[in-house]
Amino acid sequence: MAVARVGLLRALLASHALSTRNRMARDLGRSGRWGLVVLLVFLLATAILPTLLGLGASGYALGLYLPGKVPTAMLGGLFSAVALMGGVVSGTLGGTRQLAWESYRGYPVPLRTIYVAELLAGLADIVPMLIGAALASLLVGLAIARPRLALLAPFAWVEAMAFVLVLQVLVGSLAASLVKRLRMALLAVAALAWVGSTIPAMLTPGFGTDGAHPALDPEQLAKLARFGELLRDAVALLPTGALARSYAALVSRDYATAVALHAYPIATVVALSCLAAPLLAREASQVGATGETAQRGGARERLWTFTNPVVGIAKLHLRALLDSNVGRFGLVMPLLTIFIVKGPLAHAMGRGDYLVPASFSYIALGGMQLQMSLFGLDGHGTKALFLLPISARTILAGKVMGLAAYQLAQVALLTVLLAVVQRTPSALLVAGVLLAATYFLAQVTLGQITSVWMPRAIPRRGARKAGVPLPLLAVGMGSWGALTATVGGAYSYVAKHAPGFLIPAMLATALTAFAGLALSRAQAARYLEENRERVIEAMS
Amino acid sequence: MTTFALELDAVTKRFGDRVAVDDLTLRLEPGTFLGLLGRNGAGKSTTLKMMTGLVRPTAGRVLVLGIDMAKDPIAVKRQIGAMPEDMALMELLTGPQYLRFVGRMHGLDEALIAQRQEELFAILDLAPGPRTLVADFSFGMKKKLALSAALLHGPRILFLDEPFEGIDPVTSRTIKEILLTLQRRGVTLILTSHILEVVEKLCPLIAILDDGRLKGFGTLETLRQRGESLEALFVDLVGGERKGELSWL
Repeated sequence: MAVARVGLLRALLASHALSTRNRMARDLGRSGRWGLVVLLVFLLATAILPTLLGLGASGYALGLYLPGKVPTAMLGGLFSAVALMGGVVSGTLGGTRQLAWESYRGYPVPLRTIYVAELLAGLADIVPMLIGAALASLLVGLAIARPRLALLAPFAWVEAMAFVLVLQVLVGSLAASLVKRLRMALLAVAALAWVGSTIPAMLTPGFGTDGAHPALDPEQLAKLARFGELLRDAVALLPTGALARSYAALVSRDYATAVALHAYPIATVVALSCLAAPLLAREASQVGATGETAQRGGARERLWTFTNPVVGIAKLHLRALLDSNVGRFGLVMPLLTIFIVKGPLAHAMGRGDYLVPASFSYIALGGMQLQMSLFGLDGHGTKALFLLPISARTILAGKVMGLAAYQLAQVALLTVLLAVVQRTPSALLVAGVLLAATYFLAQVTLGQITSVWMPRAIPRRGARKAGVPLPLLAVGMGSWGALTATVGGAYSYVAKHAPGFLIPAMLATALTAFAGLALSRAQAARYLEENRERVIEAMS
Repeated sequence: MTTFALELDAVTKRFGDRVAVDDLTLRLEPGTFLGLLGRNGAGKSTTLKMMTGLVRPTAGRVLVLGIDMAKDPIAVKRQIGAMPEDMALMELLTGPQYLRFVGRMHGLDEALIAQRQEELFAILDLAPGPRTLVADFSFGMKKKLALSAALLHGPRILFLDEPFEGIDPVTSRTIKEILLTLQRRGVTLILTSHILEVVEKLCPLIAILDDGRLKGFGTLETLRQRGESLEALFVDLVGGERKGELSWL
């Protein structure tokens, strides 16, 4: 019987691994795989390896000072941050199960076998993998400082990782809306941390470079000390605190205590596991009963109306954009643009006069895939559009209007950020908005054709089928490059040599692009009318 | 001169080398209830798509109430309602929002849309939560909503692709009653289905397609002279010999 269960577990894990691999292969494609490799190498070099080395060094330093009270508490804090916080964050970000419970429950497999497989499959998720590596670095550092501690390393790693996996499942099994709120809270905290640490630095000349920090007064120091003690006591109560104390006990050669202290984390992880199993089973059965889309919330109760079909299509398009991940991410683009263009690129190039055209060009690049695939977010709804008594011209005009509203919001955000962060003169900003309008009008003129020539579905959620076909990418990047070289170049040239003519010059380019769009509308509508079945087939 | 509700004149549709519909000619009087039958891949859905303007014929022409689909598709679409097999709903809207969108596109005013929506939801027993997106509807609810959208503007011709698939018996009976009422009021109905009993019960006129060609067309009584039942006739016309037996059962 035991052999049979091991066989089932292996079969479940193998099935999960194969389906994950196949899905990744299908979603990423050959170029996507290379992109992923490049990204991983980049992350490994710039973030992961330094973090692991830092944790190893921290482990080494703490190991030297164990069994001191403060180092023990700090080690407990590190274990808690990595294992407990890591599990909660991973569960919140992943928010769902690894295994397809709905399918597996149809087979004669005990629930506990699926649960164990679920826990083990969680190890292959990106966050637990990183946490596992981080823990290993910390434990190796401790073992290098005091070789005796190597005895505890495997047990500590297994116990801490068990916390990560069980907490991940537990949090992921909570009501979807709760996980969603937790996720939003995490994002908000991350955004606040980023804004709090970056924007003041950008606004204040020489911020943080003079090394002058006001000294804390004794009262503040006493408050900090009290807070530190409270934190230490709190960590000591946690099972991960017991794990750190077992390390301290081992350094003191108190072997019995070192072993006995593991009972607490083991008992806690078992208890949490017993709590998570039924929750997971219940969540899985609910999903099976109501359909996976029931996980998504966010419906708006308000009914909307419109004055004519073009506005109706525009509103629908805008809504599809705002409901998609790619559309929502696009609204964060202005902030990222400021950070990228103002930060690393400005430092790399040692100059800032390209900032305004570069920022608007970068925003235009971000919007490219939405312009090149106007029907991308419609899915089956595309067919519904073509069943309505409206012309192809109306459909295209509505889509362009909806996208224009969306990109206007992006440009407005960027303009405000440039004005606040960079204190850019208003003439440059007005010219920048006209530059953005030129990009939009020129690219959407082309997009009306490419959306029909090579219709492509853009996933509303996740990264499945997110790859842009090479010809479409080439057309989009080519047009963007050409516009950057000509119109962007013209902006920089006129701004430098004849600043008084900048706004008229940019107005002229925007009007030319608008004329191009207006002149192409009939042709684009005819092209759509003649090839509508291609669009419908690609989207359905 | 008679104006047919629907006229397919030597319509052909090719996808590359594959001929999906081959030289199909069909004329329907107003108020006809046609059951379009065929095996999977016989060309039923493509025919329906050409009739509703979703697909352009490679050759031939489609006339709806005397209007050439190729010349004035918008005028045609004002007169027809369609429920595609995959329903083609806008999943980001709620049910009422979707009906409002469709109604406004057909030029109906808000009050009329609200009144018709209320009646449709009541008769179809469709009561989605006010905040429930179409994406979160069950399959049956989506079918009901798609039918509601197809009926909202009072079409003179209604196209239904597999309307009874995935529908519970009670709703199925309601839909049948609605369709029969529409027919009595002079609406032309074209329905595809794999459920022969439903077609036999509802449709006085039958068309059987196979490999894109019309294999049989006529009233149920006329066609029955060539076979004992619709099923026997269907199998006889499209060729449905058994392929053998499973060795282990």
